[in-house]
Amino acid sequence: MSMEAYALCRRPLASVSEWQAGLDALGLDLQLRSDKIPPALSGHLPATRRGRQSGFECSNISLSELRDFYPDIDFGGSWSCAYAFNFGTISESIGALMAIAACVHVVRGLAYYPEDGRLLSADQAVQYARDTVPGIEDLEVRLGAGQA
Amino acid sequence: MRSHDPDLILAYSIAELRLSLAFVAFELLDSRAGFRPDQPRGCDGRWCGEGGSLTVVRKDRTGDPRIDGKTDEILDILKDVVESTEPGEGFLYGIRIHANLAARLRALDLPGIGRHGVEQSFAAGDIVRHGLSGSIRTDVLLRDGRTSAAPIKAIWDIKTGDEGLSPSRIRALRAGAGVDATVPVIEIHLLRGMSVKSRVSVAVTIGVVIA
Repeated sequence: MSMEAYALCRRPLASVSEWQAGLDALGLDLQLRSDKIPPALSGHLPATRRGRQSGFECSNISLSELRDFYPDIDFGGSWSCAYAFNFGTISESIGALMAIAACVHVVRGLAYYPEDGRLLSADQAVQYARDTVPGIEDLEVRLGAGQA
Repeated sequence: MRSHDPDLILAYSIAELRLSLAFVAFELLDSRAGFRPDQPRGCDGRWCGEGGSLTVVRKDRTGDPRIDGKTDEILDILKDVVESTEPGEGFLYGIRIHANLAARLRALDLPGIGRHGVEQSFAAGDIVRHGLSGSIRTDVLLRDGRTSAAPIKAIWDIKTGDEGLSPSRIRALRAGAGVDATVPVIEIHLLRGMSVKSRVSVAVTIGVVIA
């Protein structure tokens, strides 16, 4: 099962190392295990967290499609690129939250979570990740690691 | 006339305590199941109409009885999952529904879907291990046969919250699974799953997706 989220960016991320540096600077303990990012890669982007697989799917999406698909959302601004994230399991969700937060923080973009209709600034996205990850970890304990 | 036999009094006290414990346990089980006494029930005793239940507001059909029957099965399972999941909203609620539904579908090992038809990863039409760089994962798929080489007949994608299934995602799912536009991609969208009435819609996409 999969959920989606989006990052709207003033410029594309330059490289995996730039993205990883963003994660590290924020103290988010996710390690990207890919040597490519979109547009060179479209699909699963491997990542690990505390020794566990926490990768997620990531691809470019056109801004016009995003605006057409969510006509009620005012994405504002002038964005040069957007990334779509798909994730399903608990560990993937944690990975995606952290990666999105770091992405929009690095490029001063916006994060959009259609799951709960949140359109977040870079700082808000970072705070959202920090606030939400403990709840997901607690959920994982309750559901059992087998579903993660 | 009341007995003053100490053994009998002790036996009564123990019985009273056990009954109280049974009621406490019962209440705890109800809480875990998200039970609310004010929720109406149907004549079969199942919840209906309000929190913990689903109302199907839209149900597109493909016209293929096997695929449509499987959609109905998945809907029934989703209903059970929503009924047995604590009411909530937002990101964490979505994760709970997705995780519980995947686990339930795998456990049921439905004909044509099986355990491998739930959250299967693909790359350019080939089945690959989960986590492979560049792979795409479908939520649920139905094959026209028992083996992994059997043709894919339909793909289901489960959505929660405000999100839907975007045209680019539909294209990516088809490209990943290696199927063409004749294979329907069926979006089962849980529109709301909170303490008020929940709704679900089924949308079928067949043909080329333009966006």
